[in-house]
Amino acid sequence: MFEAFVEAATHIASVDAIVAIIVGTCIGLVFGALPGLGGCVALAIMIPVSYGMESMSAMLLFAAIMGAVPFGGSISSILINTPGTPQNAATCFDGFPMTQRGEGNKALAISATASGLGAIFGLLVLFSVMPIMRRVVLFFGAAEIFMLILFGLVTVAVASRGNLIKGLVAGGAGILLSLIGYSGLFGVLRFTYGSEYLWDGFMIVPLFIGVFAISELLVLTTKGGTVAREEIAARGSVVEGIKTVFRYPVTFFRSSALGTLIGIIPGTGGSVANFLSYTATIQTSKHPQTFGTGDPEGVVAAEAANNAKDGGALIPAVSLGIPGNPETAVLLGAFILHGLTPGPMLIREHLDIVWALFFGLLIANILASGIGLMLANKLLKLCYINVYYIIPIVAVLCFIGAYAVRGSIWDVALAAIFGLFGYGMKRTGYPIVCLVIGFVLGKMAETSFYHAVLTAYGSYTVFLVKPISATLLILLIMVILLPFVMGRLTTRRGKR
Amino acid sequence: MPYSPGGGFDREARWIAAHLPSLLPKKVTMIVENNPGAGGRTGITKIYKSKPDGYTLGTLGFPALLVTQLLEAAEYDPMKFVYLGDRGPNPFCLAVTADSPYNSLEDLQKADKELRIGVVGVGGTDWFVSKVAIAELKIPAVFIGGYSGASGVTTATLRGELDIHIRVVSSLTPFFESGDFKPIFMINTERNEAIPDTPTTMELGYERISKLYSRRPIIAPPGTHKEITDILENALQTIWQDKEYIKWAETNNEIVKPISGKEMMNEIINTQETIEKYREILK
Repeated sequence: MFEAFVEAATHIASVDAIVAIIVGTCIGLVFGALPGLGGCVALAIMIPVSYGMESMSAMLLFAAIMGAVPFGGSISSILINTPGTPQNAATCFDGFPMTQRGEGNKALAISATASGLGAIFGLLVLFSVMPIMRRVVLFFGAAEIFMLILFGLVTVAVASRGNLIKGLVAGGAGILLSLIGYSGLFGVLRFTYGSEYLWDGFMIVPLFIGVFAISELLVLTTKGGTVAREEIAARGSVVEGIKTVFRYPVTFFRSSALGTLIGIIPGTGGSVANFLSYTATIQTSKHPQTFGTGDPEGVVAAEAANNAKDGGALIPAVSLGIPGNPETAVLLGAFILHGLTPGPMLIREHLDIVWALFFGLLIANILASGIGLMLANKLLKLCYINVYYIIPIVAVLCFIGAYAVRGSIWDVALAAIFGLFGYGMKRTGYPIVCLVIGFVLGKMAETSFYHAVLTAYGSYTVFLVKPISATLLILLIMVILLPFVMGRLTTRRGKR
Repeated sequence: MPYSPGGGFDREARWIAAHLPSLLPKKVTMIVENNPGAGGRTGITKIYKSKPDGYTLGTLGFPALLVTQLLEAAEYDPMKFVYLGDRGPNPFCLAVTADSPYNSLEDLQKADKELRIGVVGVGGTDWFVSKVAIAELKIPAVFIGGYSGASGVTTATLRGELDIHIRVVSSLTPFFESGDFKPIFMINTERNEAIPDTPTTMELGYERISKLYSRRPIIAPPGTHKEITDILENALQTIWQDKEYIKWAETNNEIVKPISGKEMMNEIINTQETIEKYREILK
């Protein structure tokens, strides 16, 4: 094992490798920041370019792209309330209000630091479980996954913050939206009305672009002015931002752990890590009402998780050839093109490639965060430009992003329609985060539930029989009852 | 390219895109455009409706897209495409986990419970081959669908949530090497080089299903002129017979036995007849 490590480490010192990492980081940052493009598109474009490259340099390039995207995406989340990629959605909730207060550069610094450190956490986990990687991946079966997803759905209530009814309605709507399309489970088409476009259901990227980005552009259009209120001079500081991350160690570690875990579970992507970690932080906080108003802790939670997931996602990819999220799926395709066969033999035959990915992710994250910290103050100036200049440029970029998913103009139309829908939600107080949670988790919940039951030959007790699943269920019930229990305790104390 | 980046179709297409231009008379660059959706139908329809000027090529999943077209009305007619050839067959193999109590076809047939088998969804090649094989071989089975891709089914099988797994042998080979899975039989007429001790359905006496394998033929839109397609066909054969390509294919345990466009067309016709026979099973 050690020779592979050394082999990879010495290769990194070569010019090819350094160029690959730098180029990959820049591409990742740009594609991440431009709403809708993201890691998959960047990787797909770079695959043919990588043809002539040596395998290790190509892997460094891809890992660098993957590593820089999550932070890149947070830039647009924080500055224009538009997630650069779905895995940066929750970062908008507290990142953007900070920008409006003139603290955008501080928020960027928090994101850069949390992202970089979160990624390191994820990679440390990858490193430490290397000998037992496969067991870790196979640990979670359908029943356990369903429990985790249920946890996620329950956080809809938390995320609705006061407007419980509206939150549940939004969440329910999200779940319904996720079920549209072909269901492999039942072999039927649902709610497609004969449309071939709806066969696959709504794609997450155009939906997110619509509901977050376009709706925000509509809000800005009606408001006018500048993104950050002019009267408030830029007053955040980058150094303050860096220090802030260290003020919330519990949040940071919990978010990173959650992010890594979600990365390990195949099928759940960065967006799940991002908002699950965010809502978990709200739930366990002593002051839940400050979230959504620009609480720095929210940014820490969101950004640590979505970077940590990359280290986690490499675990199933490298140990079994199973993609943990869409980006790793494209990465595995790139492997094959370079003559590397993904699967359980990869780590035995090409451990040096695994190290290359490790280093690529590590260095790219540090580099991307460094670039972010250096540019934070300059990027903040963008927010003082009149929105009438920003809106058309961002709108065009958004629609390009929506189109880039699969070359369909209908996706662009979808983004527009959901933009109007999202605007309506913002005006009437229905929380978008609940819709999004329902949408991302809805179909997954249904599939994992049925898989758990069907593979147990129809027995519903499977959730109680399997130890991890049962534990999660008990935790879930405790979490739901917690507010009631706390409420009763405080009233009793109050009466005394 | 009716499939998303990263999969088997995608990498074949990308290899061709990288090597084809140098074999063509005019100077061109070739790009791969991924149009996934509707199980491949979106992309196929796009190729079907493209201009037959020789600048657009495509690939399709055989026999999946035939099955879909026969079972439900589709906007394309597979017989109208111009077939430029295919690299070789991708035969399927039935595998079980290493610690499974089943070691032969007989064991499976005598199983005292319904064996759980996973598929992605109705209409896919894995579903088609699995359904037909299970029915012909009279293995007691229950199908569980909705998995995210073939790798999703493999993961569930590794976890012990599924009992039997039918997948193209090239994707299963790494798991045989690592000792996670053991092969029970090949759905083919010949044994596979990577697993020479594994019997074939042909040997076991089931000739009818032994020719059910998947292919990834290269196609051109209907109406493309013969002069153009001849050039393309020859270029493709050159690529597939190239030593470098064969070496690359072998690392993935892919069989390289190129056939011409005409031969591909014949296979399509034959398979359509076969599928008709299985209509009842496939409902």
